[in-house]
Amino acid sequence: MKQQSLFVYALKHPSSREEAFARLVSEYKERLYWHIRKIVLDHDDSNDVVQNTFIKVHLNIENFKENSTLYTWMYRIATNEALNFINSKAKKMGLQNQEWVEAVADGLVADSYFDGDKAALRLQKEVARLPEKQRIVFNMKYFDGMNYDTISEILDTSVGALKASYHHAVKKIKTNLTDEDTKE
Amino acid sequence: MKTRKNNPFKVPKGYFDTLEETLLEKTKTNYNAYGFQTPKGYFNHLEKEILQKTTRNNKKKGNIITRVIFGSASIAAAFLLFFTLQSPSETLVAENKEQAFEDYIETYYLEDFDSFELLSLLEEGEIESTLTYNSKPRNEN
Repeated sequence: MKQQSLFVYALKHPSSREEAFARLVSEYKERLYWHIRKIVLDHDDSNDVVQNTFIKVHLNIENFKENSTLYTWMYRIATNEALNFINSKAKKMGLQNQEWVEAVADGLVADSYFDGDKAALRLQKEVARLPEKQRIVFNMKYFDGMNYDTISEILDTSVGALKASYHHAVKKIKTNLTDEDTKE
Repeated sequence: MKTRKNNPFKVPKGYFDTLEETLLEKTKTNYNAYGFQTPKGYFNHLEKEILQKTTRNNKKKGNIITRVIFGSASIAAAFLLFFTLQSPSETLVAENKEQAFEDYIETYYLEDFDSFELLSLLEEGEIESTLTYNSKPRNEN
């Protein structure tokens, strides 16, 4: 935490701010991009959201109180920005957020920046069918391999509820995939 | 390039070559791609674009003549600003802005992201197992 405090000081101080921010971008650009990408799914949309996230971080670094880690704080901004993006896109199309996400997931088959096989595509479609918040928990646990304590800190939710949510999501996905296999 | 055994997902050709050596070590977690790709060299481009839109914007300065002109004008403006910025309403605006961001971080979409809502996503039969999970120590991941 002491090392973080020094870094945060560098981020806030005008003389070192630019260099420290460049380091911050270099360090976190990919992690935040992938976190966002799994929420909004499309590359161009993720590109917009990750840039907005860093702009927000830059504009508001003075407001970072170090009640949490810098990493957690930025993940929260990224999560909010991604959900806000989906909300505004869905609203423009007259859709519910989940309907929007499912439509994007259906379009992955033709997405030039997605090369997953049939199984990967089916998994993405099933993940898209999860309720929004359950989907975020699933992404962080299954795809990012985060432990519950970290997810708990980022989402400010109890570990117990996260575990229940994740297990429920896994069960739902398994059931749906099995049902589809049976139909085929 | 396969990044994980049995993982069908790839990253773009030469993608990792574009990253700094130290960053490479820290970003091995990009096995997370799971079928999602990015354009070649995207992250280098992204970094430049973000810095262009943030820190480098602040460095933009006019030429010497412009600076002299604006410099003299700014002396007068500085006095005006000094008195304006001292007014309580400006302080209030700054405080409100700060508070608005705090609210955004703490309570925006995540505000209702609490245990109760997550529990409400569960079917009745699963509530019991949820309660069992809650009773376990936090370090049991």
